[in-house]
Amino acid sequence: MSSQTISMRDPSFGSVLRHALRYAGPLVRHALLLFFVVVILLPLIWVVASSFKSIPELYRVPTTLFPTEPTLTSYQFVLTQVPKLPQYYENSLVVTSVSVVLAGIIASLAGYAFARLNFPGRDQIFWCLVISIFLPTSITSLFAVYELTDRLQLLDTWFGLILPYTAGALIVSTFIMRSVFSSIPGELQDAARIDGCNTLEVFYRIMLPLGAMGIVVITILNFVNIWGDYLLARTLTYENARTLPVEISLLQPQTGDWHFNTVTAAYMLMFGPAFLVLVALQRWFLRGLSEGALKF
Amino acid sequence: MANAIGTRQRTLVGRRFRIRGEYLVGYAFIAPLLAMFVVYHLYPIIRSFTMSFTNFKYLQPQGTHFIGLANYQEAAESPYVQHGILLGIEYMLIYIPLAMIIALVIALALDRVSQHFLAGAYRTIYYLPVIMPGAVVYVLWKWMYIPSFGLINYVLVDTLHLLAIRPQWLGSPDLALPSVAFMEVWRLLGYNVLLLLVGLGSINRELYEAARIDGASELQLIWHITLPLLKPIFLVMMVLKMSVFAVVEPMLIAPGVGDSTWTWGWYAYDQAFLEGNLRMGYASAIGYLGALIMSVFVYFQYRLFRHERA
Repeated sequence: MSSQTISMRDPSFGSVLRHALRYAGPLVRHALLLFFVVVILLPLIWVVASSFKSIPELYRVPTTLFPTEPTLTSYQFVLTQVPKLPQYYENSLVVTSVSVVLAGIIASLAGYAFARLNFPGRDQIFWCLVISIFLPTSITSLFAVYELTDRLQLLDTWFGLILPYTAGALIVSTFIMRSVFSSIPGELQDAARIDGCNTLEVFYRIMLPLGAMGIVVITILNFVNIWGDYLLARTLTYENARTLPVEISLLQPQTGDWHFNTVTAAYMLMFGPAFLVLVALQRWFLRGLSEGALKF
Repeated sequence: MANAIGTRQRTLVGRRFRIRGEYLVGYAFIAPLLAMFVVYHLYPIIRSFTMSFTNFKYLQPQGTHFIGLANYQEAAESPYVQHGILLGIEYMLIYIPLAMIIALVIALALDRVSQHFLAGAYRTIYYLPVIMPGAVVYVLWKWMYIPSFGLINYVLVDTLHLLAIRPQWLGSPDLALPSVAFMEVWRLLGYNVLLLLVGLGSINRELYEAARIDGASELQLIWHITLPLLKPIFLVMMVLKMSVFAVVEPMLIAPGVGDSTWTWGWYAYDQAFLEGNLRMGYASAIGYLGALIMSVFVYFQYRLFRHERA
């Protein structure tokens, strides 16, 4: 406001001030953004650097940010100390990928039906499903899911995790697939019908290829959520089907032989590969999330 | 659109059973979804609700019977539950404003970055913690909060000399809950920024141009155009974030000293899965009591939201 009044009275001073502000704006903006880049990246750099440190260097005061004598001993330690690492990897990968594929199939079928098929109660059923995810009963439902899994004799098995993971991913995935299929012109479906395709053929010949982008998005979205889940896996497994996030949560500061260099080496071994893949796929994920958010 | 197809079909075929057949196809397509929904969403809600009126203990199921509202009464009178509900409110009051304000500041700055490459790089970096498993972030921060050699004190005390003493973070009764909240802010920062950027992207750029021609400063643009137009998505995000009232996960992995992070959600989980004979009936009652309180919060927030919009 003040710069405005000054500039009206004294044009030369105003133009100088305005010139300065034009450069000050971006400067402040980027300084702010860079500050938060440091806040985000520093812990991640610390993880990578610490995994290459030896124990004496780890506890040296003042600490070093980058290791002076990099060593691989912590990686050796993890590989010998966690003999079941391949099994946890297998559990996490199998459970996550099967759930993601199942959820993708079921959600595409349902999303197509909600978007393009005609049957009584269609929209009512859909909105009931959507409203149900806002019910604040996530903790209490966990008790009943535990009991149910036990009754089905699925505790500590892959399927005991796959079923609730798939169910948990379904509603949001269906919501996204419904918007994807709604945006495909209905004339294509009509044309295929006239050419003699039945509904299932219309679905997999016409709609699925055109909705491929949506399927990629829900696949990545569900992968991130299920791969990273802790609460359900901790509750429903104890030994054979234990997943990586539950295993990593046991590496706490007070647990015996573990030091920060070995813990970070465990991070790198357990989550490094998937993390890099997800970073590479992030563009898709971000696009999907913003589209999903727009439609919500 | 779908209705139009339906009528065309009716005129084309003109036979009732054909339409019924089409309905059946529709139901067949949603049948797997409905089956999963009934078994893993609907049934658990009903089952845990009925459980909450019984003295059901998981490891001692014999003699389970209906006890009316006794669990609810016990929960309402329990000092642990009362303390837990207060902690849940405190956590919500720390986390939501902190997360929203930081995300808003970043989103406002990021929205004005015109270079595509730079904007993309910033967004990607902010998004890195979101794709990490939550458990990994909590364990990482638990180590970072260690007072002696943790990264937080290394930066704040040893490098920048901002603090004279070394705070205990999770080891201090007063700082534990804010510390947990901040680690969650860090984890979800990128996601919150992304949602706000979507909101900012939907604002018509011509409004800014018009205001600039009228001589408005950058801050005036933000205050008079951006913030009012961003309000709807901002308020929706606030309402959705109220679910953190029921926070459990970080409290299980990176708990604070003593009872400093025993929120009611944590306490319900503790009663159901970790303590004694696993009193799931009682734990369900705590859960539904918490859910009821949360609904009240959401209702008032919603009322406020509707009022603002009108």
